This record gives sequence, structure tokens and C-alpha cells, in this order.
Amino acid sequence: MGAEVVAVGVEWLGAFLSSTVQAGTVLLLAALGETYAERSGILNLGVEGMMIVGAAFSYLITLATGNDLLAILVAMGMATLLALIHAVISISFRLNQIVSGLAITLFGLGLSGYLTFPDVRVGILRAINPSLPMSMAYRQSTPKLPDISIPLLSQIPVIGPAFFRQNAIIYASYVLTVLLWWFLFKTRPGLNIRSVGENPAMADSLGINVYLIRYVATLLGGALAGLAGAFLFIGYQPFWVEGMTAGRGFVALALVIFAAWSPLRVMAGAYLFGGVEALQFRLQVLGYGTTAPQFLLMLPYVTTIIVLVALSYEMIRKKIGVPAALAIPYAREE
Amino acid sequence: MASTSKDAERKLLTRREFLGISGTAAAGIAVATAVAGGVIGYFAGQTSAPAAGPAKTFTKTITAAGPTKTITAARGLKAGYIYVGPVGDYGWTHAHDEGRKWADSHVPGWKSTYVESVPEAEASGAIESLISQGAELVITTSFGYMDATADAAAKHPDKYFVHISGYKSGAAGNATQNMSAAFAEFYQLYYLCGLAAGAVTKTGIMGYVAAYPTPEVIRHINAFALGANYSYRKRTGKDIKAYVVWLFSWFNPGKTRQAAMSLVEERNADVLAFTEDSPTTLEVAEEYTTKKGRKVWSFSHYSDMRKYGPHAHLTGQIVNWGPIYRDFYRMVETDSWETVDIWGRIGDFVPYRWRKPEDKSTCCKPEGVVYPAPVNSVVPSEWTTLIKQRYEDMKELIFEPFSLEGNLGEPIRDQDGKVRIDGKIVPRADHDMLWSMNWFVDYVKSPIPK
Amino acid sequence: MVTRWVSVAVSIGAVLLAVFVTAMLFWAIGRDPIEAYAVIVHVFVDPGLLGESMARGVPIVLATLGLIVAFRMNFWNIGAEGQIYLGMFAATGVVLWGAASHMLPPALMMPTMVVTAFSVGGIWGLIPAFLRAKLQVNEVLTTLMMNYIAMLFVDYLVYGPWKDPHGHGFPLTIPFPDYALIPLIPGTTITSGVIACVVVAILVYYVLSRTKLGYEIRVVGESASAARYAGISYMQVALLGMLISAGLAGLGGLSIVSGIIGRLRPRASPGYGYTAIIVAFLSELNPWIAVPAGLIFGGLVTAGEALQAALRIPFSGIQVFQALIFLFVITGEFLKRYSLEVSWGRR
Repeated sequence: MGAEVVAVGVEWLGAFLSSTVQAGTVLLLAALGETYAERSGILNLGVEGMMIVGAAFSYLITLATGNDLLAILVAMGMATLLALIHAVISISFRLNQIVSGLAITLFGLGLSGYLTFPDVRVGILRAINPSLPMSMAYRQSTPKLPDISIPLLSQIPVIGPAFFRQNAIIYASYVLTVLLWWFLFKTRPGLNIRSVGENPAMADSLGINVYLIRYVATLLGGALAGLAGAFLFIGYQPFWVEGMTAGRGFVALALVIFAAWSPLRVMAGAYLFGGVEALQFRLQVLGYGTTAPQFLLMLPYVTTIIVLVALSYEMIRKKIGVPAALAIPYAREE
Repeated sequence: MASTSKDAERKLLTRREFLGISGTAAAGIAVATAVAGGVIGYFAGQTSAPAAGPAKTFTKTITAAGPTKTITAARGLKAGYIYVGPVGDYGWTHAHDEGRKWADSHVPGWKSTYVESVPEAEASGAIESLISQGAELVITTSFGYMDATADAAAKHPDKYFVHISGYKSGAAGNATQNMSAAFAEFYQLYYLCGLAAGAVTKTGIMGYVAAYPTPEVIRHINAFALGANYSYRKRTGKDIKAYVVWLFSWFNPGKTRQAAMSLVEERNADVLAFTEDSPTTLEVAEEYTTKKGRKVWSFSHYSDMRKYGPHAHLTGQIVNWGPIYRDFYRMVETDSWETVDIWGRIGDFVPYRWRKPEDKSTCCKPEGVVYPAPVNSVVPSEWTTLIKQRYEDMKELIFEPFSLEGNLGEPIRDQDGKVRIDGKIVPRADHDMLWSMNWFVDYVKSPIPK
Repeated sequence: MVTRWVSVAVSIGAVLLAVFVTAMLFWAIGRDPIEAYAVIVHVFVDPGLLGESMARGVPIVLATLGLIVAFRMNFWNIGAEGQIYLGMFAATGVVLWGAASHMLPPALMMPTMVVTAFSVGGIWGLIPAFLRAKLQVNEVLTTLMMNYIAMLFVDYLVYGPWKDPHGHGFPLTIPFPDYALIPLIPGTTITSGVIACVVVAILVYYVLSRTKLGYEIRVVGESASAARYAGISYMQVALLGMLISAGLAGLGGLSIVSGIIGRLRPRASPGYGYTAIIVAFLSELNPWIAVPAGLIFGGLVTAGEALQAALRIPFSGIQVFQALIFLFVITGEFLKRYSLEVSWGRR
């Protein structure tokens, strides 16, 4: 059975890009936050853990209250708390950031599983909302965040359905990307963040509070990873599955490198990776790689490695990119 | 009479128990618990079983292997279940948990515990834990637990083991006598779903979101394609085309969504069947139907999922594991264990096994271990009637989907054009063919991963 | 000497704190923490459960010993899980080849499996080492992504070419013959893999402390630039170090197929490679501590299921416990440094 040729039209392209944007937004939000953390010199490998905790809390809160906004806020808050642990360990205690980040990830994965375990979950849900019926507490899914069509824009062929018939978090991600780019490169505080990541001693001597900036950037990273988790659950796949992040937090980390620590390039990269994810099954349906679909499932991971290799090569050649003080603890000379 | 001597043995042993100082209190509490459990069970299940059951003190003689050992079971017997997923509100594990509750309520005196989300590689640890918790009967509910269950059965000859969806049992001769196998079979129901699909499809294209290429999933896909082609060809004279996407995961709503959408958008499928553990496919169909102005149908899987896609729900396949578990409970407690390999199909575990006329058909109502979900009223009545007729025929195994009759009188060919069921040498699929099916019927246009 | 004792005290304190916090988590959902810990201890007492625990401890110990080598040279190998899968692949390949060709005498089966599992796991580990040494590609991300690739590759084999022809199409290879299995220590329920763990720990200790490679690994670990001045080739050390590191994880894979499952199946490792990261830090990258610590963590895996069976505490409760130990142990590092500074100050 060879690959059959299927007419792939404009409608298909719109739908494919729409899936691309959705899959990409999970990565985009998490990578935006990590970009800020790394720009300030803090590497946080806890993204995966913060994301899954965000997803778990958005599940618990929507189930208990049905309030999406509250769910998003709590998800962001909880992920920020995890980021705070990382900040204390790596900024105040000046310990190894790689190890601390991994610990955060393992802790987040365990905690999210613990809190959403049916027996435990029922107790938590009842505590939040005592009038919640028992049958609701056993639900594994909640309604998905509704799509909003933007008038006029959503009528443009291909682009319309891809970018302007999406849910509120995706629209927020467009605004956030531009805003965070502008803030980082066009404002004074943005410059401060970058200088702290490049040369903290110099920044310190100029009167910039290195610790404060690193704390804020790391916590922002946590909040956005929490938002990414909340989006993953209520905006993308509203079924709770233990470990549903499935390595996306680490793909987001690779994305930050790919994007050379620039929010706009993060967006481009996120949609590239999102496209790879959306393509997996579309290729299979079109008849490609059907004899061993496992190789298609490897695509996102293989792409990540290839991109990392290509980028490293590029970076060595052009000598661009890495914040010079990344993952190096800063101790003030007394 | 044998029963008299057994009664005497029971009394003797019970008295001995009661004479022990420490035993008295324990047994008293146990009997009280058993009575309470029985009463609750009685009201909950409204079973016709005699209410006197729970208060009895059971004696069990085990002759599986080694020295004969006698246990009194006044404390109530304990069953331990191992689940592969979390207990939720739908899906494979949910269905088993419902079956557990059903069995507990129908056989007073039994208590059950379960361990959920056990990775398949971790089964042996979970089995040991349940046994150390005092489980007499261990039921493992995922194919991947088979080896671990068989090993544990060999290691614990005084306990009983049931494995779901595998092929090892004492009955089959590849495990010890204290291990049984059981399965609730869906392929007949998938055929009925196919009939409904072929009756409503406009494009003649079926999409199938499939977990893994195992014989079970392959025969479900084939049965579905045969059924869909039957009604579609009768309606239009043309053959259907079925496309399959493999997820390589039993439960993955994210991937399922992507896969279901690709089938609709790239292949123009307007009916989506699936073997995956969530209602995602049905939800995707509902989204197309209600929000995107494109009529797409889908099904229930394991439990009634109509609430997830009220406008897209056609029919579906539903399971009740309860009667299977109840029978194992009874075998253990009445000391009549026999190793078996149960394959629950339409007509098994139903009160009335004989086919009824279509107008009196019990089709699509809960009965037995497997039955179809209610059929959507959009399906024209001639096809609902056929579905009922085939359902009733299958109770007596008069009709078999994998036969010439199931394929409009034609031989069943695989994708290479080879005749697999010719109606003469191979009149219909038998157990072995179904259990090791590794070919697709020619209506399926996607290959099987090799 | 004072600091040595402080160090031990801090580690013990970290574990105790994790025990306490986890107890609070159990208590918060209405479970008796004492009962819960009794269940955990019972895992090491009940012969059946002890056997299960030790069998699970072996792959964790082997992967941990491997990680110690990588971490000592400051190479962040997060890929033990994938290297375990490659080891399972290699060991199974030998068994299948031996069964099909009859060219391998039973006595040579296990030695061949060991060599192959070590080599194949090791070669898989060379890829990120090479990329790191040559192009400075972040090894955390490459090793992690390679875990998913390795797992899917084993999926492919078990669902495809390596499927047991008499297995009714289910995703399992043929069962291993007895001579390809790791035997129990006679008269016990404990796998003899435990002995292998001790032998490997001695070898790792020897390599790290008594050989030129061990010296170079130490220097590279302390400072890559210092190593360069000392004329040490980073490429060479990284490749050799990762060959050993990933090779040992590969042996861990062998111990899963030959010591726990008895054939290859999909998703055969439930994350032993990640658990090993925790054990490596808990044992302070010391091979001697890694052996008992890894075996205890194997017991914790079994305890996770036992807790659910007995008290309906989720398996993830044990994962939280492990992660807390990890968090507190690394945070305890701060106390150790602090006390170091204080004692230096006094002198």
C-alpha cells in the first residue's frame, strides 16, 4: 500500500495551521517565561514540573468551580511557588541550577499525580466546593475553553481560521509575545535584565539589584509555565492525564536556545514545533510512514536534537547568543 | 451425602475457631461486618440471591498444589484488582471498576480493594502487595500483566488469579490451575456499529482511531469495516473506504484529537470509530457537527458516552464485567474453582439466551457482558431492524460477522486480494483466527504496521 | 573531619525532613502516617516483597553508578532512561539471535548479553558526549530527547519485527530461556544481580580513584578550562566517561529484561533512569553509598504499589517522597558549605 495522493486544499491548510498554533501555544508560553529567566542568568529545568502543576491545578479548579479564570490564576500561582523554590536555591543559596531544576520537575510530576489521584482529588474538590456532586468529582475532563472568532480577521482565507478562531489564552499569547519582546529590548528595565544575565558584577556596580531582578524573572518564568500548563489543560486537551506534559517543558527549553533568547523568535520556533506535532498524524493519515508510525512519533524529539545541533553550530560560527552569566550563581563581593 | 459431611466439617472448625479466645472477638466482628456488608449489598444490588448467604461461615479446601490447606472465611473473602489507569468516569479502567462494584454488590460477603494506574512493568510488585493484604482472588485487568500474573499464580498455589485480555490460563495449559483468563469481546458489536455507520454515511469513508496494532484492535477494525460496507453497498452499490490512524497509546486524548481531525479533514471521513480510552473522538465529531457545520458521527466505547456528543452519537459498544467477576467470586467462595478461559460475547451471561423476534429484541438494553449503546434515531428503521436481528442471531451464534453472510455473500479478502474466508474450507472465523488476526479486510485502505 | 560528620548529619536530616513532610501529605488526606511507614518497612521484611524490591533496585543501582561517572565530570546525563532501553534492546537482541541461530552455547549467553548491553548502551551515550564536546550542544536536552526516541524505538521492535510469532500478535518478544535469566541467590528470594551491583561499584570506585581516566574525570569535573591547561582532551574524557556511564545504564536495562520481566515488552522501565538521578545525588556521587541507596529506592518503588493496596495512597505519593529527598539533599548542600565556611573561619 503506497501513499495515496489526497487533494490538500486551502481548507486543509487552515485547519493544519490552526492545530499548529494550538500545539505551539503550549510551548510558546512556557518558552517566553524561560526566556526571561535565562536572560537574567537563571536556567530553570523545572519548566516541565511547573507546567504539569499548572495543568493539575487548572483541572482541579475548573472541576470544582467551573471558573476558568480562577483556574488559570491558581495554576499560575502554584507554578510560581515552585519557581520560588528554584529561585531560593539558585539565587540565594547559589547552588547548582541544573540539579535544582531537575528536582523541581520531579517534584512537580509527583505532586500533580498525588493531588489528582481519584481518592485525594475527591477530598480536595469537596473542600473547595462542598456542594459538588460526587459524580462530578470523578470526572476526568472539563469543557474546553470556547473559541472566539474575531470579526473580519477570521474571514481571511487560511490565516483567519488559523490565527483568529482561537480561544482567549491564544489571543493573550500574541499580545504577551509582542509585549515581552518590547519590554526586553526597548525599555530600561529590560536592558537591566539583559545586563544582569551578561555581567552581574558590572550591573551590580551600576546600582542594579541583581538578586531582585533574577527573582522577578524566575518567578515570571514560573507564572508563564503555569499559564502554559493551564492552557494545555483547559485550552488544548481538557482531559486530565498523569504526566500529560509529556516532555513539552523540555522541548520549550530547547526552543529558548533555538530562539536565541528573543521572544519573537520564540514564537516562530513554537509554531515550528507545534507544526511538527500537528503533522504527525496528518502524515499517517496521508499514508506516509504507516508501516512504522513510531518513527513519526519520534519527530518532535528528533527535530529538537537537530535544531539544537544546527543552532550550536551557528552559535559557534557567529558567536552570538548565550547570556554570558547563564547558570552561574552570583555572589556579591563584600 | 457429601454436603452433610461438609456441613459437619464446617461446624467443627467453626467451634474450634470460637473456642480460641482471640479468635472469638475477631470472628464476631468479621461476621457482623459480613452481615452488614451483605445487607448493604442486598439493598444496593437488589439481588435475588438468598439473604442468608453472608452470615454463613465458609470453609474452603484448596487442592491446587501441595498439601491440602483449609481456611475459614468467616471474615469475608477479599478480592484485589489491578488497574492500568485511574478510576475515572469513562474508559477501560472505569468499566472494570464498575464491574468490581457490581460483583461486590451481587455476592455478599466479599470485600474488594484495587490498585490503580499500575505501570505494566510493575504488576508483580502490586500483586505481591495485594496478597500481603490478604487477597484470596487477584484480578489483573490489562494485557501487560499476563506474565506477572502467571508467575504469581505459580508462586502462590493457595491463591486464585484471573487475568483479563490475555491467553494464559490453567485451562489453556500454559499456566497453573489457579489461573483463569477472561475477556469481554467487542468485535460483534463493532460489526453492528459498522451497520449503523454504513446506513448514515454520505461520503462512504470511515475513519478509525486505533490504539495499537494488536489482534484485538485489528479484528475490531475489520468487523467495523465489514458491517459498514454491508449497509453502504446495499444502499449505494459502492464499497466503503476505511482509514486507520495508530496512536501507539491506549489513552491519549491529545493525540486522539489530532488523529480524529486528520481523518475528517484529509480523508473526508464522516464516521469515526475508535479504540482509545477517552470520549475524545466522539467530542471531535460533536464539534464538527455542532460548530463547524460538517456532519460527523461517532460512538460510545466501554460505557454510554452520549453526554459527550449528543448530536454525533450513533451507537457504540458497552461492557459490564460484573457478571464475569461475580462468577469467579462464587467459584472461590463455594470452593468450586475451575480454571477457565472466558470469552464473553453477545448472548453470554444473559438471562434468556435464545434469540427473540426483532420487535421483542432486547438489543441496546443492558444485558450480559457486552451490548450495544442505544441506536440514534437517524438510522433508518430498516437498518435498526437489521441491527436487532443480527444481535438476536448472534446470541445463538447463528450469525457471525466474519462469514460470507456478513459480507453480502462474498468471500472475505484481505488487502492483498487473498481470500481469507471462502465459505467452504473456512466457513467463518474461529477463535484462533480471531485471536491472531494480523490482516485487514480489503475495505481498509491503511496498512498494518509491520 | 568535622565537616565530614556535618555532611552525613545534613544528609540524614534531609531524609528525615522528607519523611516528615511526606507524613504530613499522607495525614492531610486522612491516612495514618505511621501505618503508611509501617507498610513501607514491611516491603523490606516480607520475603516476596523483598525479592520484588531488590529486583527493582538492581537497575536503579547500575544506572546510578553510571550517572556518578558522568556527574563527576560535570556532564549532565539525564539520559539513563534511554540508555536503559538501549541496554534492553541489546540484551534481547542477543537472546533472539542466539535462539534463532543456535550459534551461542548457553554458557556464553549471559557474558555475551553483558558485553552487548554495555556496548550498545555506551554507544548511545557517545552521541550526546560527542555533540557536547564538538559543538557544545546542551547535553541535558539531547540526552532527555533521546530517552523518548529510545523508548519509541523499543516500541517499534516489540510491535514489529521482534514480536513473538506464537504470541497471538501481542507486543511481546519470546520468553527468554532460563540460561538468559538472572538467577536468584540460592535459598532466598533475592536476585543475584545484587552481587553484580557490588562488583560494579568496586570497579567504578577503582576507575574513579585509581586510574588516569578517573583523575581526568575529576579535573574536567572541577573546571573544564583547568583541564585544558593540564593538557587533558575534553573530547576524549567525555567520550570515555559517557561510554562507561551509559554502558552501566545499559546493564541496568539488561537487569530489567533478564531479572524482572524475562522478555522484552514496551515501556519496560517505569522511569528507573530518572530515579537514578535522585539516588546519585542522595549518595553524594559516592559509589559505596549508591548500592544500598539504590536498593532502598527499589524497595520504595514496590512500596508505592503496597501503599495503594493497603491504604489507597497513590503511587505518586512515593514519587513526591523521592523528589522531596532530592530537594532537601541538594538544599542541604548549602548548610554543608556554610558549616565549611564556619569551621574554616574558626581555624
